[in-house]
Amino acid sequence: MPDYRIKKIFLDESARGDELTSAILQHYPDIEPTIVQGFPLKSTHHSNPKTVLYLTHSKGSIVKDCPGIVPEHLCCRYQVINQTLNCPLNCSYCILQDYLNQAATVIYTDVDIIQRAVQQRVTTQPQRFFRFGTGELGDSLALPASRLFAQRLIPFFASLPNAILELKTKTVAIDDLLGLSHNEHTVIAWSLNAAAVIKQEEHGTASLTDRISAAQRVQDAGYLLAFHFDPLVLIPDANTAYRQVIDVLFEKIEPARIAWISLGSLRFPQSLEERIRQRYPNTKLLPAEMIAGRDRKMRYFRPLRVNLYRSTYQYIKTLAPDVFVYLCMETPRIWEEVTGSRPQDNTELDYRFALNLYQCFPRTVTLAPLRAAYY
Amino acid sequence: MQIRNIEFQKLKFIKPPAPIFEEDTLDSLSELNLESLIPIFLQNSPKGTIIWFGETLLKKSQHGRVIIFSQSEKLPAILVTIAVFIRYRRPLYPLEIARVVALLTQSCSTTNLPRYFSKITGQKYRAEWQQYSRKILALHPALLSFLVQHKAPLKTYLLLTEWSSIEQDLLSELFRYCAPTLSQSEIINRLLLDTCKIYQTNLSELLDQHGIRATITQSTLPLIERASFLIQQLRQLRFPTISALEKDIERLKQRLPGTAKVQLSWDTTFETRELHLHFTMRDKRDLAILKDYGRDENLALLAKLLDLL
Repeated sequence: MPDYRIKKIFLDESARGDELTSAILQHYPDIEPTIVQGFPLKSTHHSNPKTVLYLTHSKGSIVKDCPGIVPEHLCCRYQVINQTLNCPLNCSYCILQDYLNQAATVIYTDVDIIQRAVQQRVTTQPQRFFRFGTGELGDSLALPASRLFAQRLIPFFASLPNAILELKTKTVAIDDLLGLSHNEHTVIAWSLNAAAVIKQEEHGTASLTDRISAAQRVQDAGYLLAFHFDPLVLIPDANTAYRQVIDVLFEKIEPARIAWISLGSLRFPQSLEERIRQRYPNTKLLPAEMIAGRDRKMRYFRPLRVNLYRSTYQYIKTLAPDVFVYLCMETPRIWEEVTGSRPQDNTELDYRFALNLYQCFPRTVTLAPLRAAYY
Repeated sequence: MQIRNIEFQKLKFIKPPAPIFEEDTLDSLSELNLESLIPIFLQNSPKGTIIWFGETLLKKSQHGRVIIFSQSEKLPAILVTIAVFIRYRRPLYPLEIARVVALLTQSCSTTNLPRYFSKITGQKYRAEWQQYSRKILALHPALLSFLVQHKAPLKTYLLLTEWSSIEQDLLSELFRYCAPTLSQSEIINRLLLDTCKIYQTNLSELLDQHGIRATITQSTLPLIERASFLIQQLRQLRFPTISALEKDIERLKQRLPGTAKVQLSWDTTFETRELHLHFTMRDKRDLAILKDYGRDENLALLAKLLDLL
């Protein structure tokens, strides 16, 4: 496990009275927080942002559409809750290296405002079923602050008829969640990868077997599960390596409890390549036969990733034919080549999620979704 | 401190890091025919003259302007003077900064080093500079010469430091044969590094096994075209699938009627299967070309191209 130890806490005046703030500070009894008005450090400050917490109130909207929406790719219209900005884990391919430049890990503590923003979204389209997630700009469970936030979101989502919460992690920090009342409106999700990739590229994360053991405990607690084979990496004999992961997965996990599985291949903005080389000189991700797509992101050359997707997709479908599998940030053509069909557009993909949940998890989606409600 | 002019022809190239020389021996160190990089700062010492740093391209009109410091003057003060002298004309080269780091490390406390570094170079000190400095100063002289002559940024230096000294020898040989520009050299370097990783081999084996060295060194191509040719060769090794597909497309494309009126292009990212046919028509006679393009065999070729994409 990585050194999750926080060495310094800056507490913004605005966040002082929050219940979440108190709960977070109780986790760090030895650290006296510095009260500030606005964050005092510049992005160029030399301290490691992963060891500094900044507790504050959100300034703009932190509940947003997933930024993956670009015209060339199909997007599932996921909703992101960016409450924790940064991650204590160190995955060599992580986009946050390019995306975040704060000198601290920012935690928004105004839970009520965040919940109100979620409520507002779901009430504007009551017939649409929404999927929200906190794992976009950081691991959903790696930091105590993220876990404490999750503990407050789970009961909140349990009461929302048309929304589900996804907590994505590469850790095994699930103990605090097991006893919560979730009403099958929370999905706990793990990113999975070949053991070699986890060891080489996902520094500080839990091992594959530990992740799956944790998933099994969550499954026993009645939660829905999800798994993300993302990023698939073209390691030597990748097809076999990923098949082995799938074997390990279905040895312990019941396919009927899996809400969805995603496949995504390694991709990153061109600007990240040099950063990866500098920060992780021993990475095996580079060099690879990659090409910049129209969204200026580097991806494996199309035939290579179709081959990898197809092998992984078909093997999952062989072992668990009814599990909902989707491709993350891929073109309609790739969808067709891998799955044999493609959603007409983003709204249809979103609808397919709801329909699958309705068919497999009637306690979660109680009313049959209407295609017209997805626009 | 005194500044004096030395006859240009007597100024010589010194390999880094600057050693101690007798002023009289300067003649034997000349590499003037290579547009020499000349150390222009000397310090008197009981052992001889210490040549501190300052490799710059001196034009004949500048002549050799040498600053000589007395033994009593302190190193940081000397370096500040030198840096100001150089920075007045241009930013410091990474090589010079590397040398500053090396000299300061020998002569300053670790507490003072960042302060002096900033004063001398005008940049903020980072701990990585210790490692960079060692690696840069150990680079092959011909490569250093190339980097300084092309005013290369730090990242280009660091890229070259990834090679062993034997590989640096080979690389400098390659650069001599194909005389790349700075950006070409960066592409070549990156392609070579990546390809060696992919094939899990070293530079010497890579160049020999795939006949790259022979192809380039025996090439009758004009000098100006050699670097592009080398890049093309290396790309085929580095991106085998993409290169094979590009070759196939080119082969098919050549079978289509080639005319200045028709241009065929495709999505070079290979992400979409888009072929673009661009017809330029000026009068009715050009319609015949359009009609000719619609022949069955041409359409069949276009269909094959689409299949490839």
